[in-house]
Amino acid sequence: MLKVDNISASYGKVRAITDVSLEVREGEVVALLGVNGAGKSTTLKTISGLLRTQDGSIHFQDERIDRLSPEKIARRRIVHVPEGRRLFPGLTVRENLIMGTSNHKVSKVDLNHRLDYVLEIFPDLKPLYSQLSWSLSGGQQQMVAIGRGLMADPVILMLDEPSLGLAPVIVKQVFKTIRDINARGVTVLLVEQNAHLSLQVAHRAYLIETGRIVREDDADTLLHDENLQKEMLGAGF
Amino acid sequence: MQEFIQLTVAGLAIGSIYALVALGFVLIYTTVDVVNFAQGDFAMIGAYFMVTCVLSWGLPWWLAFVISVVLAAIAGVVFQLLIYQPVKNRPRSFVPILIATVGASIFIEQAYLIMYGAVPYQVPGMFSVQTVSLGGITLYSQYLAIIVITAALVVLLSWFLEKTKTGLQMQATAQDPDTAKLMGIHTAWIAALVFAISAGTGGLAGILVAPVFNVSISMGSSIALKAFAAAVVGGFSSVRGSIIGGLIIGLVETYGATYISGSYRDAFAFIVLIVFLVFRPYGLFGEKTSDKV
Repeated sequence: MLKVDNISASYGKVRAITDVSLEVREGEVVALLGVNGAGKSTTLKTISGLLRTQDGSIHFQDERIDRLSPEKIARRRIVHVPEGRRLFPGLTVRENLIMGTSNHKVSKVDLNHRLDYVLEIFPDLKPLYSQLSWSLSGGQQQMVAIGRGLMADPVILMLDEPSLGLAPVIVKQVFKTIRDINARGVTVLLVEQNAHLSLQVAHRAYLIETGRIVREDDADTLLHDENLQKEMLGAGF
Repeated sequence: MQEFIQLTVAGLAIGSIYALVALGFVLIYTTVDVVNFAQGDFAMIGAYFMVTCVLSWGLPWWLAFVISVVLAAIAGVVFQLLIYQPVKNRPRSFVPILIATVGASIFIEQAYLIMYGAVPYQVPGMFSVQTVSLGGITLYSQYLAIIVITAALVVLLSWFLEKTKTGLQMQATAQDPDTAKLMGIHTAWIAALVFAISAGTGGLAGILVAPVFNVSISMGSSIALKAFAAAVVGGFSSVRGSIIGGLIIGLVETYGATYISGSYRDAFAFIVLIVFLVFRPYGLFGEKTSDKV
């Protein structure tokens, strides 16, 4: 479904990722794990078009997408939920959710179905509907951010550090939600520092270090790899 | 009392003109992060379209009004394509864009000077009757038209920004352009729309004020200076603030010119501006921000 081949990208003169390759198949949850600054978010930014690749290629459903604008990539239902939630602070929860449908035309009936679907997954958002998003807690903002991603009717949902800055109990809820979303047929590419919880919901995972993929394996294998546990101790194992 | 009411209506009318142009400043600033120093020229462009439609082509006022506003909005899109787009991605783009808008303003004014000459034009107002009497008070009909049309436009624009998906997309682009792109919002199209609306409201201001001040090459820049002060008073990031800022400047200027001295008419707006910059630099509705050094 999504195939990233040997991509490299830089911020100015600083190389952020080098020869990164990964693949996400339909129906999977794939985790991209690594410590802070390893190149996880940069990889997602290149897939969603926010950052141009310098080498390599990205194909989605057999179409090359690495020269498309972020808007065009979003219209192919590749949905990026960015790090730090990045809600529109001056818009209400409902308005933020509606903005999720900007990647395609949607009828009023369909819009309401979509809003109901998000509320089914995040019932706690219902009483917050008309609240401005800046006033929400971190956990509530994360629910809105994922909900906004789901409003886009994603073929693949790319979540960038959804557990970042959240209380442990909320983190567990977020990962449970990721499993629920995947069970509803949404393919997920999950970027995380919290390797332990990520591997519990993922089918496969890639490890990234200083901008390079250093390992790819089944989530179960990685979860029970004692060496990895030692290596990633500081990153949520 | 009668004089005070007449002055208040005049102040609100002139303030509405400033508010419309200030609105353009704010919309462009909040959406694409640019202070457009050619904003006042859209008022002049709108007024000169009116001159052509009414005086040269002999069109009825309402038709000329609609055509002139639409043409001013189109001029805004052309401005966005020719002036803003080519320099927006330059390093430290704030400075190149600012200089580009100043240069464009000078170019537009000189081009109109060549096309229309230096002699001001007089265009008719919306109504054939100059004055109306309300409750025994005689009021200038064009002032009432300015106030009513501005109020209607503000209601319409507020509805558009807050209740339509495109309006919300404009707000979203203003608040976080990168995330807006990730949502699939076509931010370049939104920028064009913002320039069109800003130029349209600016053009509308010029058309409405034309019967009061006459149409001249310098009308845009003099309105723009007051409108800039209005935008600062309002907080430079708030539609509501730009309207209230415009009305405050209009009222202070009118009262000051009448009760203190007409010679200092233009100074009052800038006194208000200086007072705000000293005591409340973030304006009435702006957010108090600070940067860590």
